[in-house]
Parts: sequence; C-alpha cells; structure tokens
Amino acid sequence: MPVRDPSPSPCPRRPSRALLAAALPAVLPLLGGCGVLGELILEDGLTTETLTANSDASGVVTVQLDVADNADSFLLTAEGAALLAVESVQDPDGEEVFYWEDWYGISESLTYAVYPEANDMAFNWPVRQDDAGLSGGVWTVYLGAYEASGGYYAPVSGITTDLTLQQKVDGDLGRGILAVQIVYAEGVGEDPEVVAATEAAVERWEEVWAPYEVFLEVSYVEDGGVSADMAFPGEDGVLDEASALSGDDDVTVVIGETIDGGLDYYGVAGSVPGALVRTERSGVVVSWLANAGGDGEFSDGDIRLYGETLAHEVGHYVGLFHPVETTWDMWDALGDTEDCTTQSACERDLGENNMFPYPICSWTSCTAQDLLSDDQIGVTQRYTGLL
Amino acid sequence: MSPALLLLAQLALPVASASEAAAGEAAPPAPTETQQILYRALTVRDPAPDCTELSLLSQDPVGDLAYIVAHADQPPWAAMRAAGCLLSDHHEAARPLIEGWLQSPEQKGLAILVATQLDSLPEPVALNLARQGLAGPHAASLRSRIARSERAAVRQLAQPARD
Repeated sequence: MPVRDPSPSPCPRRPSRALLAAALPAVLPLLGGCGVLGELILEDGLTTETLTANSDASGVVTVQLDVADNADSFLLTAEGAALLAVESVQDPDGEEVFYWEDWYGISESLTYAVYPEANDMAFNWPVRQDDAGLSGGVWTVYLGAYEASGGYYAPVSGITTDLTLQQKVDGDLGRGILAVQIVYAEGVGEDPEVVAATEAAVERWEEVWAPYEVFLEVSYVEDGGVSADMAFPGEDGVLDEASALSGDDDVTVVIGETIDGGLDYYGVAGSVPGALVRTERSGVVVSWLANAGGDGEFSDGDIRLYGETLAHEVGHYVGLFHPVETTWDMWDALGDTEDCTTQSACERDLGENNMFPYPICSWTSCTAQDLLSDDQIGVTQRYTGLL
Repeated sequence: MSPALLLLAQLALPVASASEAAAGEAAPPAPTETQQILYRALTVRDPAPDCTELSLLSQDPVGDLAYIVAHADQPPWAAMRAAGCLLSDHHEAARPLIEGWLQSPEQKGLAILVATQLDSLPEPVALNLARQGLAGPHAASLRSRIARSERAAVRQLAQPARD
C-alpha cells in the first residue's frame, strides 16, 4: 500500500528541490538550517511545497519546478488577486509540452487551467497516459495573471501569487487510493437518514471505481460549520472553509442541502482538475435534498444514483470531462471515448459511462452508469492526489 | 433558449411510460411529448436547465412541471428541479399544489424544498407557506429551516409560543 505524506528529507541538498520562482530570495528560506545541498529522494507518496512569486511586467508568473527523478505527476496550485491560468509548460530539455492555445476554446477539453476564470488555478501534469511522462529535472510552468476588461483579459503585473507544488511518487500507476474527506454542512450530519444514505452512496461509489483499481479512503466530519445552503464553488468561501478541515492530500466533498439557493445544481466540482490544498474552489459540493427526491427519503435507486453522482463529480475533480457535452459537438480529449454527434448515438455509445452528462432514465428507473474507459482511468491515475 | 435545450427539444427520444413500472397500480397518464422533453432536460447532472427556458418549451408549464413532480421518481433531482421551477416561476398558479406538498406526509423532500426557498418568494407568500408548513406533518423538519429565514417575520413564526 502506498505511504502517504512521507516526511521530506530534513536537509535537502539542492535548492531547486522546491519551487524556484523568479524571486530567488523567496527560495532561500526553504534551505534554512541546511548546509549541504543535494538531491532529495522522494519515496512513495506525496510531497507538498509552497512559495510565492510575482507576475512580471507582462503578467507572467514564471515557476520552475524541480521534479524528482521518480515522480509520476505534479499538481501546481496557484492563488492570487488576479484571474490565473496556465500559459505553457516546458520540460527539462526546454521542449514545450503544453501550450494554452492548443486547448482554449476548442471542441476538446483537457483542463480548465487554461481558462482565467478565478483567482485560483490547479494544473496537473501529465493529464493523459498519451502525454509524455515526467522526467527528473527542472520544469518550467508559465502562468498568466489577468483581469477581465471589456470582454478581454488584460495582463496584470506585480501580482503576488501563492504557489503550491505537489509531486507524487506512486510506483504503480495501475492502481491508487484517493483520500476523501466528506464534510457535512450545518445540521446535515445530525440527520441519521442522510448520514446513512451518504455512507451507502459512498459504497456505491467504491463499487464504481474499484474494478479499475481506484480505491477510496474516506473520512467524515459531522459538522463542518458551513451553511447547508452552499454557495457555488468559488463564492462565499464554503469550500475554502471546508477544505481547511482536512490535510493537503485529500479531496473535500461537502454534503449540504441546496447549492446557490436552490436545486439547479445537484453536485458541482470546484474545477477540472481540482486542488488538494485549501482554495476557494477546493472540493465538491453535493445537495442531499436533490438526491433524496420529493419524498425526502432515499430509495435504493436514489442511493445508487447518489453514489454514481459522487463518482461523477469527483471524477471531474480528478481531471475527467464529460465524454460529450449535451450540444453533441464538444468532447473530452481522450481517444477511446466516442466523439459521437447525436443524442441517440451518444446515449447508445456512452450512456453507461459514469462521466456521461446525465443518467439514462425512464421516469421510474435509471440505467447504471458505472463504466470508465482505459483513457479515463489513465487520467484518474495521473491525478497527483491518487496515491 | 440554450443550444443544449434546443437540441434536447428537437432530439428527445421516446422514454418508457411511467406506467411500465407501476404494475398492480392504477396507471398514471402517459407523459406527453412536451413532458418527456422537459423531463429529459431536468435529468442533466450539470449544468441544470434554466427554469424560464424550460417553461418556454411548454404551452402549460404548470401542468407539465406538476406532472413531472408527481411521476418522475428517477432521477430524484428531476422532480425536485421541476418543483423548484414551480416555486420560483409559477408560485401563484401552483399555489394549491405547493400547499399540498406541505400537508402530505409522503412529500417531506418537497416540503423541505419549500422551506429552503422562502426567502426567494414574496413575503406574503412566504409567510403563508411557512405557517402551513409549521401546521403540517413535517413541522419538526421545517422549523429549524424556517428559523434561518432572512426575514424576521418568517423567522418569528418558528419561535416557540410564549405562555
């Protein structure tokens, strides 16, 4: 079994083990107390390091990441007083492996990190099993800091950005465990029916993922102190507050009553992918009330759908998009999920896929949606939080 | 209307009648084509359809949404979203129906939904529904929610009576 959160070497011998941002003085404290520079060895698990950097005159934040030789993936989380997005990524040989425009506003979705839509951003690399794996050395990630201005994004200089680099060494990308903290909103955890249904739904979620060697390690917080009428992720601090209750290696799922004042949203993932550390959008919010239906009680069918929806929303959080959107002209960037173009063809080819945008139902029952493709599993296994 | 909703309207496939699963019970009327279109739109996980756009698809939005509330058992959010649209966009026309949810022992989820939406309704409507909820079979579940209302007059209804 993978080990979580191994203690980093007490005396890293190479300063670039951590984030090397443009501002060198900010790096120096990471060396505090160590007189010998050298390589830090990552063992199975996850390391988390933080730093700050400023955007330059062009609004670019240059982040250099010293990736360990045996790292499988990294997750870069950024937060600052501007809209943040990833611009490009260079490997240690200086080769550009990712460029924002290749994935911006096109018919295939790879990551939301290219869209400057919030003051926080999470970027996981590699995303797919087709993307080149990591090699040890210094990777460079360029982020853009923007403000929305008259329908355009204008670069913003001098923005201080809080950065968190997380790297995982898994050793086995064929299987993994995702740590999940389920946080009940105010009063919700006191309802035994909701708690029992949620725990049963988690079992269904485990059933969906386990055949693909993806396992869960779930803990519960009975009262997370957040309002049962949950704000949309990124608004009102609900996820910031809830994610602060957990460590830096797990995904927060808040179970509340309504989202954004109603049931328009039944479950919402903060981002695709999402951060493991505390941000305004760190986690997933789910309405128990929408899951229980008009009678307010959980039938077996309700619980099955509840579990499949937990798998679906957290699937977004670990990097999965809908294989096709309901306009039938936008798809994920994976090769083995059919790029269907009509509703009937998409329901036929993808209707049992857990990431399909809606369940196939006939008023009184719904078809099980518990399938994932090899490429979808490849994305899931590369999420840095899956150890 | 959003492109997604337009496509749903144009391409909606026939779905099984609710009567198929109701063996031994009186069969409800089969859903109309419009009800099937609305139902399908309401099943989407994310994002949810807009209530105003949904209503534009129907000549009788109150009747069609009420049908979905009554007959769409799965997915559970379809009926709840339809109920939400009745509350937000048609609370006057659907008043008897909404009041019925507060009085029915089998509709606890709908009663809770009403309690969570009181602040978005005109105050006289909210006060009426809060009173009815507190006099109905779900009073114990509704009281704490009504007590969280942003409106003092509504909150006050949930306070214990003084001697």
